[in-house]
Amino acid sequence: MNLDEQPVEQLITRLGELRALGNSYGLSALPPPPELATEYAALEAELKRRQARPS
Amino acid sequence: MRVEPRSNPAKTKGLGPPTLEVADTRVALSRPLSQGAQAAVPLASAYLPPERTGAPTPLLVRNLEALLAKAGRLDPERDAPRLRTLLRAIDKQLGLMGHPGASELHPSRPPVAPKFTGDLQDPPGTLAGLKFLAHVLTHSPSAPEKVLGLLQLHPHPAQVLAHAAKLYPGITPEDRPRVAQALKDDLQIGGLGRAIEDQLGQLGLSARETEQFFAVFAEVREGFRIGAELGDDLQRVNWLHTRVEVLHTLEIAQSLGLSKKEAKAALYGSLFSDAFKDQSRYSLLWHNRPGAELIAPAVLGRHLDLNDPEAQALLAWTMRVAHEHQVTPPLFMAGPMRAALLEVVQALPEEKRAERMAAVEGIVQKITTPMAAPQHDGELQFSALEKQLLAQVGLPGWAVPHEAPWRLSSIAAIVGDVAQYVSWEGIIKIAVDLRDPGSPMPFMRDPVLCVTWLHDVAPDAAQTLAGRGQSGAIESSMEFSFSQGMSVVKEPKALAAMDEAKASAQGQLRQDVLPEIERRLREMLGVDPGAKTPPIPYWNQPIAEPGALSEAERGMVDRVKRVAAEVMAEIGGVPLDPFKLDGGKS
Repeated sequence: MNLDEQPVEQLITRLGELRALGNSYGLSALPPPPELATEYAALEAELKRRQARPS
Repeated sequence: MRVEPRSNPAKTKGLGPPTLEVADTRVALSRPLSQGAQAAVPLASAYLPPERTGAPTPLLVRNLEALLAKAGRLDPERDAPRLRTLLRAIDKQLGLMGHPGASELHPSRPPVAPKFTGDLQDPPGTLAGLKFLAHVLTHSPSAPEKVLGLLQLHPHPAQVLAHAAKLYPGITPEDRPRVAQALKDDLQIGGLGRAIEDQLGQLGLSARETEQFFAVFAEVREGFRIGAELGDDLQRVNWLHTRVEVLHTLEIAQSLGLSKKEAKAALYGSLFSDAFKDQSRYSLLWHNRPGAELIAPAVLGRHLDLNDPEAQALLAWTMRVAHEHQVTPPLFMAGPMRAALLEVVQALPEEKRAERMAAVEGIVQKITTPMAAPQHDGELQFSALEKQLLAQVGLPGWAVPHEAPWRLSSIAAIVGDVAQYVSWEGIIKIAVDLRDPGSPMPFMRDPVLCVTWLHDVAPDAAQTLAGRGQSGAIESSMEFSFSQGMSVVKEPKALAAMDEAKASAQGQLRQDVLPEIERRLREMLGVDPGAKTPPIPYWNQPIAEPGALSEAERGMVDRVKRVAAEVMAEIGGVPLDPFKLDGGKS
């Protein structure tokens, strides 16, 4: 997925989903897949970049 | 020879007393059972293949009990060899019960590897587990092969049974007053006991039914206490969740206008849905099934008269309600499911992965949108490959609410569960126990405890966080998790009731909880009255780099979290240390 092309609202929704998903891993003995942290970090970075970009 | 009715008449109801056809089954079973099992002949003569009559195997269960009684009379130390021999015989019998006839009667079926006795390293624990199983099989309306089939999918059924026996050994008459008093004291906090009693009265439960419910409730609490005492802190957290879920379920049962029968099933279903969690890998995905198939019949079998058709129906409905609770919150379940299945697939040779990856995504899709996925009789429909993958993480299926007489009971229990995200027990669990800005997992970090507070005291900072999609730990529970959980609920009355519950929690948060946290933090820091509150990381100042806290930030985060938990517990009536395992410190 090319984050560049996603609307901000969609990125924010996905970030929220991943945070909620994190809560379920907190209750589980299963470790979250590493891709989850990678995706989260990429979304965070993209949102920070968009925020820093002059409108 | 005639088959005697077993102790749960529901099992044989309408089937009549079937006649045993002894000769061929005796021959069939004498081979597998002859190795070390003195009981081969009585077992063989008692064996009644369900395929022949459609009936379950009542005498097998009785014989199992007899064997267990015999094993129980042996001294685990002195008679160890005999005990092991007997346990192996029982194991084989259970293997046959799980898959009737096994290879002898049905050569096309693979032979079952019995494993209910584990490695026999702990004969007393194994024996206790097997006795627990016999008790379950005696009282459960489910066919033995269903219960045993569920256990056989688990990698360590002997451990599951031993653990279940440890948590739910039954309350002795001498211990009954202590256990009842412990529940009473616990429920006094926050006035929960009175609120539950009032709801039970409004639903029309008689004094006898109410007393019966509280006895069951006390036994379940004792199970959580034993689990917590064994060192599993999630059992403490889960108890806090369960104790209030019962009230929420009753409240929503009222809103939905459930009959007494429906409400009782919702009540007991919600009580058992989380009653068996352990620290094993797939427990989160699996726990509703053993809650339904093992703990509900075991505990209710001790409290209900299962000769009464009403009690039989209550148990059967309760088990379905506990099962169907599995459905929510969909995203919560789909995430760990995907992780579990990926582990299985990634262990395979590369050429086998592609097809299975598609099956993994198929399963995840169905579990993410369970109410839209194809289902039959309350079980989602999976392809053969999907079923095979599910079995590898211990799951025989995935239950969903459906058009059944107990549908509204299931909905009430589900909504009662989801209400946790807007109740103080659940908010403490998510915002304080689980989430932390120093967590190694980035998606478990929040820059502040509560973005609502930040918005009031530092709107610019709140605005910046919003633009980055960041929020607070409390909002992680009250917003996204709550709406996710409610995504499976369509009943307008339930939606309205939950909107109201959320608005009420938000009001209490703003009016009582947040100002009190502020007051206590100021007091703790010695801030003069009238002076501005200094920047407090994680409270009125976002953590700049979550995941890389300085020592000072760490200390302050811990103080904020502790104060928040105390305030929410006091205002919400939550006993943070319900089993007094922390000397009342927390």
